[in-house]
Amino acid sequence: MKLYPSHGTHALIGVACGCFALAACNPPPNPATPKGLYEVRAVYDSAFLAPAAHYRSLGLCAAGVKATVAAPCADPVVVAKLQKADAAAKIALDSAKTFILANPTLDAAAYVSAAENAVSSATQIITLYGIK
Amino acid sequence: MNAQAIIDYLTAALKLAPNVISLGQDIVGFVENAISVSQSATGPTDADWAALDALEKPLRDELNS
Repeated sequence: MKLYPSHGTHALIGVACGCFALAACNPPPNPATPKGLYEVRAVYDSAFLAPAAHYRSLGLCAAGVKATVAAPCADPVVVAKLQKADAAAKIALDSAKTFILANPTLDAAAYVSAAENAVSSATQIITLYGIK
Repeated sequence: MNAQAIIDYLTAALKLAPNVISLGQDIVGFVENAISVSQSATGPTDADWAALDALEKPLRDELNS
């Protein structure tokens, strides 16, 4: 068992410190910008909202009936989850937009992060249920 | 996220959405606009945000119908 880092480890630490130093001098583009949020919303629309709406358009399955390839329908329980996720994502996206546009010089990272999390949760439902 | 990712996602949406409403032409125009916004130095304008709202409304109406 090694108690001390090898030369290779030192090299990695050096590279990491160098990268950190460079990042400090040239920070990456701030995602909490109107453009960044616009892209998050565009992806949300197409990765969640469009397939969710398509799923709902299949019509609700009758009680006790399961969807088949020949007779597709939308499970009311899944539709309810999609609706709830969309409502949460819309609130987060709208809040982030309102804050960013009203406060262009303030840090909006928390708002954008909340929006990204809500979008991620919503799209996970799409993936989980194989909605197309 | 970059312009290519938006193209990929919206292209997929274009295949998924036509049964919902007549989104086809809207999405083609939206893809073009989204790429333009993504590549611009200034970011989205009020019209760009309005285009997103217009795209979302019929989809959200369908989901909540």
